[in-house]
Amino acid sequence: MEEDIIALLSQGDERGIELAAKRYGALIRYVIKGILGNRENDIEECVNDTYLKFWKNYDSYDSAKALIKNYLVVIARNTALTKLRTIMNEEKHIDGGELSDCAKEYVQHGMNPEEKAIEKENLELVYSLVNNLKAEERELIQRRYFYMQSSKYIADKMNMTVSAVDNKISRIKKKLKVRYDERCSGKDGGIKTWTIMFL
Amino acid sequence: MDNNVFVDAYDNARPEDINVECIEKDMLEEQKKQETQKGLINELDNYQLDSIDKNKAKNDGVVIVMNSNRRRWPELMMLTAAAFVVVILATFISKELKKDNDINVGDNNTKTPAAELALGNFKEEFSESNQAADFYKELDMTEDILNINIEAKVEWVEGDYAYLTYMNEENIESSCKLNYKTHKVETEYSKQEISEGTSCIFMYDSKIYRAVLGDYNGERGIRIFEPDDVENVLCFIKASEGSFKYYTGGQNIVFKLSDYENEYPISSRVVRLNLKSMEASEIMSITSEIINQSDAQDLADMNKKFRYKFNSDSDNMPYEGRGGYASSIHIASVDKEGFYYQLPNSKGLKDTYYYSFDKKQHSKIDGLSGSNIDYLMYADAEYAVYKESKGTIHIADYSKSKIYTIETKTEYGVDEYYGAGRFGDNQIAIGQYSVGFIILDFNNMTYHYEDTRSNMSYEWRLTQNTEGNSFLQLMTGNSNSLILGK
Repeated sequence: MEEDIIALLSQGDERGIELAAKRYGALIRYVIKGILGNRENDIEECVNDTYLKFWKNYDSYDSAKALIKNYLVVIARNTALTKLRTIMNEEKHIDGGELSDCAKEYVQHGMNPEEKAIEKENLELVYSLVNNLKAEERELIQRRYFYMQSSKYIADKMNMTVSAVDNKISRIKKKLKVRYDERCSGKDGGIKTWTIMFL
Repeated sequence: MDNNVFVDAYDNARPEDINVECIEKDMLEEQKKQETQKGLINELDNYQLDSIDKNKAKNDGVVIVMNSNRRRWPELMMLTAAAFVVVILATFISKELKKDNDINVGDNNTKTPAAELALGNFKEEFSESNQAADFYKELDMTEDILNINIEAKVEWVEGDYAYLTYMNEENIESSCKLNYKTHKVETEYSKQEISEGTSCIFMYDSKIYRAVLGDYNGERGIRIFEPDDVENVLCFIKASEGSFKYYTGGQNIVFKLSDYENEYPISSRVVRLNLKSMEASEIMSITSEIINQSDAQDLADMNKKFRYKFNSDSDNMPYEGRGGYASSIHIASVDKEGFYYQLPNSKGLKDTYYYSFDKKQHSKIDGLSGSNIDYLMYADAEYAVYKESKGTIHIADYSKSKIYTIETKTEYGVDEYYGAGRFGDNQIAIGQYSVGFIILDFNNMTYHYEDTRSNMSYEWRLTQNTEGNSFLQLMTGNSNSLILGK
């Protein structure tokens, strides 16, 4: 298990981070690279930021809930996405060839920040609904929107055709819409929000 | 914009809810692939391109090299890659119609015997080229008839009918039977109950069947039925949560089932459906047991991470010492007597086996195993097509004891080439994802390329000491190789 890392980090020993980096460095880099493409310098920066954030926030780590690698992957993904947002603000043109189609769409969306799709509290509801999907459905959505993998990549990894991936994701989104509407039926603007989301 | 809602929603993700195993699996596969490719590239440099200027060849583009290495080959099998060929041929006929039979060859708008031959074979396959042309006229009209998007896929063409699958306006996977003589859609299927999950259409004895993975009478599995008789289930194959791929050959259809348990696929099964008797039988299954999921050091070595138990209906199936993931059974092709498949071995390389339906026996094919091969695209008794390393595809012609090599320098290398199959006598077709396809004619020694993006055809003839057009260069000092420049 990860007791050796936890033991070191609990004592404030930086060697815990070194050990985590040794074990999970390739994984973290892989996750970040999936979002940032071939921007090596940015990837390197995000990898280091991931360790730093985990180190600084180690007090909030709960080993009963998840493994360290899960925490690191979540931090890495969010760090890479934050980096992508920064890049979008700083660079007028981003070479889309380096990014997955999901990331490309995200980049294009980022160019129009006034198009805020949904309120934060509703984002949490969306997340909880996604989390209650069946395992395969959840993996599809996670691969697409958490890891930002392309349809072709997902198809290859999940033994499906590209069109099957797109079709299934489309169906899942429809299903989520129904559930979301049900949950929001008592709230003002819930249905309206989804209308925007699924346009 | 809608998709970004999900991206943003995941900003709130809890670590315990995230499936890390799937991305670990991806990463390990990529690492293994890269390591294998490194090894193969080194090997390739040592033996494959000795007779030509390697650097020039690699810089210039596609290379065909004749190689007289003899490889062992079993005396079994004939195979059809029908679905693949149908798609290719359907594209071909569509283009033929558009171009009014005028095929561009290189820079010249002239017909060549080989181009005509390729089209001739196609016509022979379907025997009624005029009907096929009419069908495509009709296909162009299906957008109005069905209110579907143009991404309808031709699954089969049989007699007066074409069978299409497409997404209807409600984004439900649908299929229809189109009579291209009367220009009418006779049957349309878009019921939700048959659109859930993975599905496929296949044909046997002039009848169309449909296989759908989903829930049926409280059980999950694959239902087989005729499209216009949904309620009459001819066969039911149990399958848990997961997906399937299918491969047809003769009167057999072989399903590879990836069963999901917990968070990701950990088992893989191969089931044969005899279409004549409509009886399904399980041929082999692999289940994996996680030994030490959390030891990250061991993650780098898949053989230590997973232990596999192979179940098979014969005793000669290798049982122990295998690495790789359970889902990594790869079936390359099926014929009426058996099928070819690949499995990872304990060294992380892939071995090829042939399974005989009658003998219920797995035979390892040494010539297509180990470091010689990375991915088997197609095999039968006369030819094999396989990817050996990034940028390299080999076509083995066992009747002539020759191996031809196609080396590409595209963005994704051989990953762009998704399938291969026989295309008439002594012809091999190789599909390129969303781009085009190649037809190698071993009778006339021609290399025909269809670029489906630009709607252009190119053709090169393997000749000796002859200067070609701008697309052909002959390597001096080597009479049986040429470079096809981009």
